[in-house]
Amino acid sequence: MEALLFNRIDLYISGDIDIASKIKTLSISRFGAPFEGDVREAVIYRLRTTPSGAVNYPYLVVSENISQPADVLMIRDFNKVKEQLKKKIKKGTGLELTVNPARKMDARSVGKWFNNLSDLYAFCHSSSCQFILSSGARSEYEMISGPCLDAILKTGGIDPQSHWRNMGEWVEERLLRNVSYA
Amino acid sequence: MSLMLKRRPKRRYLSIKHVGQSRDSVNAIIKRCSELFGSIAVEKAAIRLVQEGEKESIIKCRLEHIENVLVAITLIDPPAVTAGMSGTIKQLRSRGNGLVAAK
Repeated sequence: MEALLFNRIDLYISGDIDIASKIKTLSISRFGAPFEGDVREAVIYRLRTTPSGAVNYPYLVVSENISQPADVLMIRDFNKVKEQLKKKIKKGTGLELTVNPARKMDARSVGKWFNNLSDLYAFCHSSSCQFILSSGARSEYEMISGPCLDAILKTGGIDPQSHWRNMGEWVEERLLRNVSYA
Repeated sequence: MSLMLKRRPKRRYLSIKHVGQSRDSVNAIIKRCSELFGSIAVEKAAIRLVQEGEKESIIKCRLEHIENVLVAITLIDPPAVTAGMSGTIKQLRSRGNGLVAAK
């Protein structure tokens, strides 16, 4: 149970995955997934826009567009959007980097990806935003276990324990803002 | 008289779920680890295939290099998932995780 001392969250998985069975196996407490009609336990739903009416599930609004207001902003290449982010980003927004694209990269690009990760973390720290590291998994084989996420964070110079603590607090605070009862 | 203690390096056993042949996945892990952390690091990590399975296998490596190995597993293509980790193969099998069963 050592791996579950802090609550890890993988905010971006998609596809046909049995989430309930993965919580213990992968040592991840909560997952984020696109809303596909059914409400599942331990899942935070990723929506493109704020729902017009009340809903009975936890959600976060996710966008790739810096100008659009969202809880989570997906970042593909931090260096390309850094200047724009400096001008437009709102305090408290989550900036999300996914691991999945790095699988297809050559070693040099993976090195740059780690550099991006460290830079994004430092930027989040200085601009009061929340750094988010997600798997971006589209199948169960692409999912990433908690210890592996920790290893990636450590390699990027980030302390996993404080990251997961901050992440947990941030998610709870965001979900409370978005709460509505159907 | 000084007493020299011979200590066997600590190791970790990892159960991994993979697509394709287990041997291919282990080779991919070793290759990725070598690319990212260097050939000396990968030799020191001593990554070995312990038990082959159709979709799930057990590998072992040195504890000091476990982080490099976990990063390499995360960043291989075709992908593989670390489904369990333990200091002994017996404990890894007993935990099961519905994965690799004892042979």
